[in-house]
Amino acid sequence: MKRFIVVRLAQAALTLWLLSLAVFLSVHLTGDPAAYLLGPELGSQEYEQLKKNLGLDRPLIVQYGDFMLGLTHLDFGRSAVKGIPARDLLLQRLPATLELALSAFVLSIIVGVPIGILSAVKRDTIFDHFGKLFAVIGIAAPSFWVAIMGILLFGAILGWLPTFGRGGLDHLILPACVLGWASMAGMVRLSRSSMLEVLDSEYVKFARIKGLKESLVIWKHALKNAVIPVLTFSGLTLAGLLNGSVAIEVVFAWPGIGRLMLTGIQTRDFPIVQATVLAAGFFYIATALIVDILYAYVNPRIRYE
Amino acid sequence: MDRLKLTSHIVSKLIVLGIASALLMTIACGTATETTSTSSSDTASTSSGATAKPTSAPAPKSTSSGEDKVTILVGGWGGRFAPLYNSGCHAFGINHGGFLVRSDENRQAIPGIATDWQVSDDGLTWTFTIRDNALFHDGQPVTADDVEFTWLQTWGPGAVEVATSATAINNAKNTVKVEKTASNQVSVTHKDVASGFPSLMSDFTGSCHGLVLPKKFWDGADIHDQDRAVEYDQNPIAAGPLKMLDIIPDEKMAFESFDGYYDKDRQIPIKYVDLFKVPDLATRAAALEAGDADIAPVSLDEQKRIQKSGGKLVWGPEASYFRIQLLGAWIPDIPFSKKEVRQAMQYALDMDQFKALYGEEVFVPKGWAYVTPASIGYSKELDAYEHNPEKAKELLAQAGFPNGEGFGPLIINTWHSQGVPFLPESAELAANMWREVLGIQAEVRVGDEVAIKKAANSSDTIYGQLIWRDNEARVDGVSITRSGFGDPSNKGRAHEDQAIFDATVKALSVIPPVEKDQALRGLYQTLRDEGYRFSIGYVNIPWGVSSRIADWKPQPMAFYPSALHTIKLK
Repeated sequence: MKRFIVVRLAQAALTLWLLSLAVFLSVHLTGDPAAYLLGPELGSQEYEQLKKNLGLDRPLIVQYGDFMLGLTHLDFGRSAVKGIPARDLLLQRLPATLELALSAFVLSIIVGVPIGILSAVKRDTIFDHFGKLFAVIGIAAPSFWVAIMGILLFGAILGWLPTFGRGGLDHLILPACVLGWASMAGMVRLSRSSMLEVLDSEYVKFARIKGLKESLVIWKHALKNAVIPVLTFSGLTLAGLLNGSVAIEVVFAWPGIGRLMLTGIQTRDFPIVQATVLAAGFFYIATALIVDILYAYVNPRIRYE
Repeated sequence: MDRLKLTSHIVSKLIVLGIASALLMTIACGTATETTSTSSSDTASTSSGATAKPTSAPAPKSTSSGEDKVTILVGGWGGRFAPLYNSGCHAFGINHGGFLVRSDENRQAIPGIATDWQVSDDGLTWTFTIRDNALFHDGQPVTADDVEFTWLQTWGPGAVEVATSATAINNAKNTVKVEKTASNQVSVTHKDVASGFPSLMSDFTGSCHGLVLPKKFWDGADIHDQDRAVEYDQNPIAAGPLKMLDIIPDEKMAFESFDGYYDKDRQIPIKYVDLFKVPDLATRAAALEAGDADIAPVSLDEQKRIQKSGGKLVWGPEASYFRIQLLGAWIPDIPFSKKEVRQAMQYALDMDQFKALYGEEVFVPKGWAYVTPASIGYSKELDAYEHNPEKAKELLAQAGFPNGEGFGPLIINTWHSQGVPFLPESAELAANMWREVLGIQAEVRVGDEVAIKKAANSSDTIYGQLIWRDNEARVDGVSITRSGFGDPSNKGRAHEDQAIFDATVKALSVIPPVEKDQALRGLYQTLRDEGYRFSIGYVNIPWGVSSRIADWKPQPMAFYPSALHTIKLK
């Protein structure tokens, strides 16, 4: 197990390095913040000076070297547009992203898994059809569209919920539900198919033959095994949610990391883009690693050679 | 039995599909907005403060704004407060910052923190007299020391090397010295005549260079200390009618009306103003409808919905103009290096089609480039060319490209803009007219704004192409005229004609207001005739206001919330 963890950490470091290189090159080759900051009444002289002031006139390899050196103490540089260290901006946005992501994650578990189980247990009934419909819409409908429809219905027409921004619990409900719906949909489908598989297994049939109550069969015997794939999926779901959904954050004006990343890309604010993308990569890798380790402890049949 | 089961299965699936479709349709149709017709009875004039007529509406919903608070939504802002670093300060700077020069409802310059300003006989030294009753939001008086400090920080020694404001770089390069010449006067001496300097110090220029910073805030720190500047961005003490109470970067600014503001006529009558950054247009409209916001830029599509909730549209006149750049127009191989071609392209454009695209309330075919009716130097002769396809063809033939033969492909670069809606669609409209009337193979490429600007400013890779973009309208076009027509070193310049360079420099050196207006008028008419920039027109922006707002008169040429002192609540 120790060897497994060490190898995975080394792989993670390599992945993050390759990610930082890819982001650096792709952002630098498509524009720069000087072009964004330059007004129409100003010309190439001001543009060249701006580039110099922002350190963008140096060779790319030098800029990248500086960036990697800064990374060793988690310094991504200063935002070209806002002047604030990119790390500070990231940390400012993190609570909002955590709040939204964790809420969506919790919803996806407490709503998605029970619906999936019910759908499996009551197969081919109205409950099953509802569960499948719920999942199909959650997967197929674009999240930005669902967000706008939700704002119109629950905010503008019914007046039940606020239409934008971060605040109390009422501000959280709609964005969390919209963001979590796609994850819930995945949970529904996964837990349904997993439960169906388990319910058809021999030991469950034997438990029924023994005369055990159906509720005991489902909740004590079947559920434990059915939930294993859900565990793996939920880890990656959480990582995806933590990266911040750009569309949701823009539509709801939620001040999270996703919106920060989008603004950084639009203004070619390199420190911001690099900080947010590397944070996203880190979340994915860290979460995947934790899930793998947990999986080994939960399922003793799994051993990592 | 199997067939029965299969049929039952299919039927149940169809029922589920039907329910799902009905659900989706109910939500979509029940909340769908209706596109307004361009001949709506709610036609607004282009004068400031014109409003759309509301239809009968249900009782307005209560809002979370409170009786003494107004909530304003905007699409975005830059977020820096010191002129040396700021860009995109319009949304908050105009109301929060105290400007040396201000503008009235017609965008005419009026005294601000400076009571008057004079220029030396050689036109190189401007002297501003500072009033004695202006206060910063912390109650400290605004003095000539503060103005001198602000100017030294923005244009003084060392500013060029640290500025992230391109305007600051430009002005710093032209600044010889800044000095406090009397207890209440500060002077700046330039290398070259800067006839637009008072405009630069005003609230009608988007660069916010007319702000005054509190010198005391920088006590103990270097004038260009970056950390101190960032601290100031988090606690910006200014001298405008709104005092900052709270700031959440990139999300919210909360203001309070400043009791100590020197101009009681322009004090903001609402106690609190909250400004939120809400990038999505549909969300802003929904917020107005729900009563979560009171003022927000919207589009005509939302008009009926806003009216249903008791709100209305208020027009911000002359907010943005169409800016058409012909890149590399001085290179002989490029077809539009010929004046006849440039004129032909304009005669081929039919402004009625642009009006049909935007609506008559939104698009107005007046003015040349950035010179619109409220600008210095405007005259009716600058308006869009008449649509004359025959003349267009004749001119193109004279230039050696009959029916577009030999012209080659014409690439039109554009992007989706926050300022002007349907920008790519308007470019496609123009391309279509050039294809049909002139036989030119025009192709529209919708790309990324920053990437296109970078290509235009740093290289010649897109010479021979066109940029179809928008820009904020301006009262005084001196600096943009200088960079486009008076600066031979600028890669984004319009031409390479020495006679035009000389005429531009001469006209821009005129300072007295009446003579300046005449000089610019003559220059702009010449430039319009040359055709390096096109006469298309400008766009009024529709502001949605909630049922709480009885009246509001935004200033012309403001695509940001302006003239908040004119807000009247019901």
